[in-house]
Parts: sequence; C-alpha cells; structure tokens
Amino acid sequence: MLFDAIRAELLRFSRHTQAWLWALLVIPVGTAIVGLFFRQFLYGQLQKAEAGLPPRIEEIANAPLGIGAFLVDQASQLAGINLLAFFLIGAATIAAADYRWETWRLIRPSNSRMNLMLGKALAIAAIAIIPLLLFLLCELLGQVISASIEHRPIVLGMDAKLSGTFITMVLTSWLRVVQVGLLALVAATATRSLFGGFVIAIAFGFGTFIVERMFLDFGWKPEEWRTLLLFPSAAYQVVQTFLAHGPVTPATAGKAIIGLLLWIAGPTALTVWLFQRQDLSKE
Amino acid sequence: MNAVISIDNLTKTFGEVRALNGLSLEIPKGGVYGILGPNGAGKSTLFRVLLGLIEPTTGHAEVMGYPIGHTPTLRQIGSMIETPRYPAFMSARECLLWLATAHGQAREVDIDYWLDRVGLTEAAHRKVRGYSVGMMQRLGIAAALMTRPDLVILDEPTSGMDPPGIVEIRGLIRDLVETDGVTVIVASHQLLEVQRMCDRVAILNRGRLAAEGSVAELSQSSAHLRLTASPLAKVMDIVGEAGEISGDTILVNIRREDTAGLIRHLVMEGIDVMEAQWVGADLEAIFIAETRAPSQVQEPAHAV
Repeated sequence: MLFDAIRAELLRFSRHTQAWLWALLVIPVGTAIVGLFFRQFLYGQLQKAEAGLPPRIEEIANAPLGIGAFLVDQASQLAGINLLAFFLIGAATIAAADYRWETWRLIRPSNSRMNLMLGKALAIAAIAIIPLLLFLLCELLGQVISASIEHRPIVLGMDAKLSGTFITMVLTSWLRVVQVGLLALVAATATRSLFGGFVIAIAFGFGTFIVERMFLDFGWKPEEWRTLLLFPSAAYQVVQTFLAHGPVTPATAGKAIIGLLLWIAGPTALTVWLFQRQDLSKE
Repeated sequence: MNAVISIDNLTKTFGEVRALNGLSLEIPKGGVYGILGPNGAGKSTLFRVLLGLIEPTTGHAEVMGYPIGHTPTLRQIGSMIETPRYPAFMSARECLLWLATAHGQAREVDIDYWLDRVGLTEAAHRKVRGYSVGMMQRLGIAAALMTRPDLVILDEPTSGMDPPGIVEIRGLIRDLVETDGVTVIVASHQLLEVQRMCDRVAILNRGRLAAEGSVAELSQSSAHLRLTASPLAKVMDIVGEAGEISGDTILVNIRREDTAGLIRHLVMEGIDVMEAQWVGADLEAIFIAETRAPSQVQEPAHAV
C-alpha cells in the first residue's frame, strides 16, 4: 500500500508540467546553457588576444576534457543553492497537492495516514535524483560541445576509484536535496499550503545559513557534533570535502552523515505525527 | 438488523459548535439509505467521521463491523463528499487513473467503462479545470464507484446536474444496488429525489436523529385522517388542536385505532360525515415537520 501511495504521487506530479519544468529542468538546463555561452565568449576573447596567451593560460585553455575528473568536480558541489531552491517548488507541490486541490477526502479512504505521508516523502526522495543527474548530464554535454568547438581532446579518465568517489558524492548530494525537500513537506503539512511549504523552507534554509556563519565566526568548529547536528548544510559540506580527499577525518564524515540522516528522519517523523492528528475536512 | 453502519451516541464538536449531538443510528446492509436534514444538521460531518477524515469527539461507530478509521474497511468504501475537486492540470481520465493508482487498482479498474457510465466519454481527455459543477459531480461518482466498493457514501450526488443527468445517476445507483448488492448512503436536499431513490431514510436535525424508517413507514406514521364533513366549525370544536382546516376538508392528527370512535362521536353530535380517508404524508411534509424546531446547533458544548 505504501507503493500505491508513492506511485499515485509520482503519477500526479508527472502530469504537472509546470512543476517539473521549474523544479527539475530549469536549473540543470539553464546552468549548462549559460555555462556553454560563457565559456564560448571567453574562448572567443582568448582567440582575439593579439599578443598571444601566457603559457599557463594557454595550457588550461587547451587542456583535454577529462570526463571523470570533470564529473567528480561537478558532483562535489552538486547540491548548490540554486538547485535546492528550485527543487523546493517540486517538493512543495507534492507536499501540498492534496491541501491545494482539496483531494485528501478522495484518497484518504484508500490508504493509512502514515502510508499517505510516507508516500509523499518517498516521492520527493525519488524525484530528487532527477535534477542532480540532469545537472551532471547537461554540464557534461556543455563541456563536450565546448571541447569540440575548441578542438580539445576528450578523454574518459574514469577509473573504479574515481567512479566510487563520484557515486558517493552524488548520493550525498541526493541526501542533501531530499533533506531540503522534506523541510518543504513538514512546512506544507503544518501550513496546509503550497506557498507556506515553499516560503518557510526557503526562509529556514536561508536562516540556518546565516546562523551557521555566525556560529562559526563565534568559534564553533565545522567538525564539532553541535555544528553537524544543527546545520545540515555544514554536514553536507563536510562529507563532500571528505570525499574530495580534503582535510576531514572519516570519523567527522561519519558524524556529518548522521547529522544529515537525522535531518531527514526528523522532519519525516514530525510530518507523520502532525498529519495523524489533522482534520482533513479543512483542506 | 444486519447493520453496515452502527453509530452509538456520536458527538462531534467544532469549538463551540456541536455538529453531531449524541447521534445513534443503524444503517442496514443493502439498498439505498437516505440521510436528510437541513443545513447544519450534521450530514457532512457524519460522513467525514465515517470516512476517517475527522475524529469524533465522543461516542462510537462501526463500519462493516470495524471501528471507524480502520483502513482495510475504508478501502471498501467509495465516497464523494460534496462537490469533489481535482487537480486542474489533469484530465478526467488522468484523475481516475490517479485515484485508482492510489487505491492500488490501476490495472483492475476499467476507467473507460466508468467514464461512459457517468457520461464523460467525450470530455475524458479535457482538463478538469474547464468542467462544470455537474461534470465534476459525474466524475466524483465515477471515482466513488470504480473500485467496486461494498459501501458507497454520496453527499449531494446530483447537485448541479440537469434533470436528465439526475435520472441517469438515479438509475446508475439503483442498478448498483440491485445487481451488485452494494449499500449506498445518500445525503441530499432534493427530497423528491430521495423519495424516489431510497429504501429507508434518516432525518437528522441539530446533530440528532429526528426520524428513521422506510419511506412508507415514515409516510404512514405521519399520516392524517382527512375528513369531509359539515359543518367544519363544529368538527374543529370537537377535535381541537388535533385538527387543521385544509380547503374544504379537515386533517385530523389522531391514532389510527381512534378513527371509528371519532366518526361515531361526530355523527352523534349531528355532523354529516361525507368522507373519511387516511392520507400518508410525503417526504417533504415529514421533513418539514421533523426539522421545524429551532436549531440548537450553535449551543455551547459544555457537556463535552
């Protein structure tokens, strides 16, 4: 029955053209197009340089495109603020759909309240992977087009170790996107509103970003438990830094993953708890 | 009575408003059961409680032998509460597919058949944002019936429909009851429609049961003795407040077994009794009589 709830949510979302356009497509496609034009603009400027280019710049401009290294580089910062903000449109759309369209009374008899809400949470988790993969695909496509125009060689350069790093980075980014999406779920359930779900999640994300910076300025360390538990963005950065072989210990990365998972489990549990008590005649 | 729904002393309050006020009712299995009542009588609240959308404040109710909110039981209920709404970006066909998927019956449900049954085949691929109220009602009825439920709860199912549509839906409901053995509970303000469609009715007033029985039983219990007699004034003197002049006749509200005694008394008093006939009340008269008392729905719920 949980799968029925997930399938129904995904079916309805798939028919909502505007939602998936804004939530899943705009940032990956838009970023890749802007990036491609920017790179071609730079390339044109470099070609026009009369005195020739400094050797280091020349080297960078003509460096082969290593697909593996490029993908890992992109995956390390995949869950960027733009992608998260636009994904919230999709998450809030799923979360608030039955309040928005007054359809709880139609589907409530079909399933338990817990399944219905977990169905929404898992549908959000399912669609969260789409903008991430699309982002990587579009960026890669942009790079391949650029390399072709610039006559740069393209090499795969993806061994097993790099593949592992890439997959782990994508999964961590997915956790981060899911975590932000679930904030929209809890906010939409509490406010019974799509707008409430979106705005509160955005405000929460922005607020925690400011507070995190303040606390780090006051002497909190990024690797401390309290930082990793209170600020999911910090936990995400710590895990990605660890995966990129930065100065983070495995123990700290483990703590950061726990922090991220708690930020997924907490809002989900809170949403189910709220929903179990809700009067569904007031949609 | 083999009850499909048993309600015992059910109360639901919203702040200070008592929508259900100690309602007790048994709805038998099979047939079409009508729930009548003026606005605020508690009909929609009752349906919402039965469908697990809201929790009752006090009291107990069972649906098909299980306490309300029991999900496997709820899955055997098809329902339409007031005019349903659907995601505006979906077509009627997509809406039914979505609901069938939510119910775990995406493959089993014959969506085209149900669209045809409610007369929406031609509009099946149109977005529902352009649908009229009547079309939304038809879609809601298809949604309520398509999973072949054992119990169907319909709140104002023919609201917003044109007369042919009403006849069509009435036929569909009666057909379901007679061929599939489904129990249908209908709330409606259209008393004539209820009289035509329902086997039994309950009249709610102020969150309580005002009257219950088959349409024939209620009609008989509210029947009057119609007397054509002369002089009418002398008859009125004898029957007092039990009588009411209606044109050239007097309607007398007495027990049926007192008929012979009354007529004998009138004749002995020198009154010419030309005709005496027991007439049953129609549902509208019963409804008005049972719901005439001033509403107490707004009373504070101190007792809860």
